[in-house]
Amino acid sequence: MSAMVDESIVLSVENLSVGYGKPLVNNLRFFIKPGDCLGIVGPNGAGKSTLVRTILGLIPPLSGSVSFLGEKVEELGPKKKVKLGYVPQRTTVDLSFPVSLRDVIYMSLVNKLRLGMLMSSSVDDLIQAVLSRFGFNDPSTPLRKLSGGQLQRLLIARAFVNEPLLTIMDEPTSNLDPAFTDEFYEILAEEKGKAFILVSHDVEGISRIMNKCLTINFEGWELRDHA
Amino acid sequence: MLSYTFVQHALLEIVLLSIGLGLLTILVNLRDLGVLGTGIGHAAFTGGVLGVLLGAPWLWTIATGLLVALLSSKIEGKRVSSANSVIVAFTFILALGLVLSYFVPGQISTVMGLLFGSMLGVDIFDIVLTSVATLLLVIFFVRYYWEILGTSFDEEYSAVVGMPVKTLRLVISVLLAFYITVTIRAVGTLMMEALLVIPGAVALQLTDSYHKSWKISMALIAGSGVISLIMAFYWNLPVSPLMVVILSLSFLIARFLFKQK
Repeated sequence: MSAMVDESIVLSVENLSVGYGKPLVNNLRFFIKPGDCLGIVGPNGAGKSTLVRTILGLIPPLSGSVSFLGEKVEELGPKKKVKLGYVPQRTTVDLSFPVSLRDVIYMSLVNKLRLGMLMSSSVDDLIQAVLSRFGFNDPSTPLRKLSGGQLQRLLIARAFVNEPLLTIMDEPTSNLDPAFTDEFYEILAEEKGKAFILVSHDVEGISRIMNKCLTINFEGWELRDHA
Repeated sequence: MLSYTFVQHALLEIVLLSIGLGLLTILVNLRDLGVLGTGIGHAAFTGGVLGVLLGAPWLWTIATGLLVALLSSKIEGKRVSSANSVIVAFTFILALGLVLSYFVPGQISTVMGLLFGSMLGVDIFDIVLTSVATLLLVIFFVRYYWEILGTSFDEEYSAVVGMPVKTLRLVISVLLAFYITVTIRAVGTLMMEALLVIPGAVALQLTDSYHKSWKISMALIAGSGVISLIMAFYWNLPVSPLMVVILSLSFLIARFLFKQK
């Protein structure tokens, strides 16, 4: 039986169970369309980050499947992968790594350049624009000089520079100061037609922009529409 | 001094090593590959033993180095860290070499020579092998410069945006193994790990720029190599240990006297 691919669906999660050996989340089903913002909330250890890592194809599902633009996420080719954005938890990145802000953003664009999806002449303008948008003036600043909050902003800028159709963020506001947290939600609201998945403890904050809310706890999961 | 062929060979080997090890040492530091370098270097002992028993020591040395790289990448996984997987792989191969060494008691000094290296004993064949390995490294680094940087900085993110993370990791391990094993006769097993770690560690103390760090590490290896060669020639001292002494002093100076702004 050949399944029809609904092109308006960006991400489709079907009967997904995730975990390391023992399932943390069972038989999860949802889909994401352009413009959707799904908030994932729940207590620590319930499986939120494991779910995100499974959706991104970083760990295999225990059962079920995840499809991005109609293709299984573990089989995605590079042209589709660049349309998927990711903002990891800040703690996964080493602040002492010897690179500049420009380098960090450039690394994110390498695949697009290799695939001919971006002109090399436009790279510097693109990097300057995305860094300015996220409050950085000097692209040559060494990474080591950033604070925790600034690093968080840089990781968001790194994902945004590729203009992904879907951006998955794991605790994106955990280190942001209140002023930039407000600005961050405004930036997301400006991204019309783009889809987001936000794992966050800031339920009040993400309530401002999410239209779907997935609650994961130790008893199971619940998906609700959010006004 | 330069009229002697063995000095010319040694100088050429040092220039090639400054390029190859200059590239590898930054990666070893940023990707935490010191244990892998040590393991591959130590496994070369078994290659030397097999060489004495079966002939073609350089071939066996390369084979044992590659075996450590491949075996450890297969062992690594659930509850086995990257460092521990290397230790399991290289101690297994090293232990086999130690057992086999009892079958070659008369020629064990040949094998022991691998431990300390002989820069002044390199011949044209060594230089050709080092040239090939260096050329392979340079081609790989030039072609995949940003992918190497990206996966070293944030492997998980690189995988999400479509970089060939696993392939790059394997290629880096294999190239590291190949480079160490073809240069082990000049550098020596025991000194190799120092040359893989210290120049990069010094460079990363001196700069915040990945792009500049290569040049600094290459200059450090070339400079310490030439100074050591001159000292070795006039005072009959071993080159590799002298290089390590100079590089270690450079590290102490960089670590404790140089403050980054």
